[in-house]
Amino acid sequence: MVDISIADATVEQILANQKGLIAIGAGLAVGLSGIASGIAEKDIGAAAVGAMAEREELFGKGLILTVIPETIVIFGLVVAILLLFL
Amino acid sequence: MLKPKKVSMALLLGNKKLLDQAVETLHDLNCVHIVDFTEETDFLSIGRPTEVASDASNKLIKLRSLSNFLGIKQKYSDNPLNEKSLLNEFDAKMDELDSAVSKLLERRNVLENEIKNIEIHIHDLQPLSLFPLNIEMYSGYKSVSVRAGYIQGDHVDIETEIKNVTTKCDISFCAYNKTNVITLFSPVELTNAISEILERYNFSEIHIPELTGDPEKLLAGFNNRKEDIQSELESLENAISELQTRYSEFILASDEILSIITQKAEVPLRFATSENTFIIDCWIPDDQFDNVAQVIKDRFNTSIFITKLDIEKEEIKTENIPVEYDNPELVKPLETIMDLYSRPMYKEIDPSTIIFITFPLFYGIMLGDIGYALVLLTLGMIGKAKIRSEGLKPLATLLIYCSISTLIFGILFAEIFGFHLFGPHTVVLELFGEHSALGEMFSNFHALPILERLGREDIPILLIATALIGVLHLNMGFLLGFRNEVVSHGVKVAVLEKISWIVLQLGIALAVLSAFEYIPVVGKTVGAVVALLGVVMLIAGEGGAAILELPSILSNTLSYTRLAAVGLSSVGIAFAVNEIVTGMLFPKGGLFILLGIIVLLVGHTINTVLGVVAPGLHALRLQYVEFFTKFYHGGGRKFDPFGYTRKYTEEK
Repeated sequence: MVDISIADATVEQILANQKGLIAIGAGLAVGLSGIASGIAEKDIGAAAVGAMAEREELFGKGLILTVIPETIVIFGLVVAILLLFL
Repeated sequence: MLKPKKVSMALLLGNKKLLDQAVETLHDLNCVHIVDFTEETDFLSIGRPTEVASDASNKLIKLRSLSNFLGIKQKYSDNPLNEKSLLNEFDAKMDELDSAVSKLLERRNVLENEIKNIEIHIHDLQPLSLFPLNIEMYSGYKSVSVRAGYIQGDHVDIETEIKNVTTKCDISFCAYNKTNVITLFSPVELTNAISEILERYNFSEIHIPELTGDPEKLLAGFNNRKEDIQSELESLENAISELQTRYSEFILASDEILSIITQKAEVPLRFATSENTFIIDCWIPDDQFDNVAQVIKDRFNTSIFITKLDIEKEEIKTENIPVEYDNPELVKPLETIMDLYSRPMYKEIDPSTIIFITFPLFYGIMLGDIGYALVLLTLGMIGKAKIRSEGLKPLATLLIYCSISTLIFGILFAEIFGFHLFGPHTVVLELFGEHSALGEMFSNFHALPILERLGREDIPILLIATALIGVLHLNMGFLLGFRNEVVSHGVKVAVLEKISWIVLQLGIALAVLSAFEYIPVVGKTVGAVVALLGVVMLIAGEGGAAILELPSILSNTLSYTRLAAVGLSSVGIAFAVNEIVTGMLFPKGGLFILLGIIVLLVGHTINTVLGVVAPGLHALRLQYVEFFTKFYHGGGRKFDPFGYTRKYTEEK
């Protein structure tokens, strides 16, 4: 283990640390929002497939309802990109 | 183009004697959508099917049951059969087929029953064959009761317990299939006492078959017979598949002809009739109306009267008007995507032509790679040439459109399978060597790419550009919605419900521009006032709940950044595969080169499959969720002309 205390750290080390934290933050933004989309979509998707089994022409509506929570992960991605690149 | 085909309501009226001929004529025309007559009055009643109807539908039922038995599937035929000759030989051929099939079926049933019996016998004989007794010895006694069956537990215990009851008995055990089999001969009067003991050891009786002889020999005989039956069943299956190939054309063609006959014979059920006349309510496309009227005049002179009704005067509900698309051939494949959602209403805008541009555009922005574009183009071309199913053909054409758009964006992004085509990192340099003329040429070409999708500086530009595309697309939706609302609810509602959103966006845009100091500071106040005006208009139009809708303008716009995001993930995967292969595997040489090629092939195949699915679904979603919700209702009825498109037969 390398023991770095803030007082002894060089400017480069602090910057590298910050970069790492930003990367972790970006990862969390995408990962957590991805899980959230998944949880939301699994229930809708199951119900949509059930509805489609009854009436096949509901495919369009089912698809729309299923992908609505997908926007959550896009938000996560936008936040991640803003963190990493701006 | 942007509207469904214009149709008119028409009324046909004539003498009942001419009904058959009229049906024949309408069927030939194949462009008249008949409206079912449902409300019977004292004067008008629903028509009756013609006499051939029940005969034809009986034949059809029989034919379909045979077709079901033989497992006939719909297929493409390029050799249509003649209707007349087919009808002439129909009965004879049908009898022939019927008797052949019923013979096979009967024999199959007999054999299947026999094999079931044999299996039961085998099941019973197998444990008994372990004992040295003939089968007939297990039955036919007056004073001795015989038991044979499976039993669990230690046989010494069982034997002692039984011997405690009586010694006048004969017990044998044999191990069989992880359990024990017991045969027990005992005096009849002790049956109950012995049964109690046996039950404690989970005794389950074996049925003694009514046979005579050595069980082992019997078993061998049954096994032989079983094999014989199985091979006969196999030959029966072969005979069935032979019948299937021989009669498949006949069955498909007859099914078609009989369907047409029943369709014609049963259509009077949709007409109104009085004692001597018939009345047909129907929809005819405007461009065909004159033709229909002319044909009726030519064939019936003035005995059948046809007239156009005014839609406005008759107060027909829009949802009852059948909708037929009116798009150029190029746009037709997009109608599949429309139908997947819902057919437009008659008075609504039909957005097929708009998604003809935006769907491939979005797809191309997302995938944007020369290599994948060429692969998809080839797949699309093959699909278009090979696929004959009406349902799937448009999808192949759609794939071609999308791959062309992908190719264009691939050139703009200068990417080929995730490699750079131009600039200092060009793949040409790697392929042809550091100092090759071609490599120098490609590495010195700087006009492209317009955007480097994995470059640090360009990603924010891509994000903003895609959000702006979103703004344009959404506002196009609002304008179309404005037009639809004007037609259905008038200008005031249209302005309040749709233009309010545009005003709101304008306000936000002004405020943002002045915040970044592109315009004077006063823009902030002006923007806020304009945005507020938009909100007030919206609340006036849609009520207070509209406030809940406000954030959707942000989420909808940001949703378009998926155009950048999905693209990034696709480039990302391609880039990763390429890095693994060129950076890690190839430099090691030897077997690793082979491994590298495999990784390259598998990686890019997976990415191609993802490249069809992900951009396809996301491009579709942007249409359905973001775009259509701004203006589109759908729910139109399909224009379904009375007629039949023949596939397996021809009339003359």
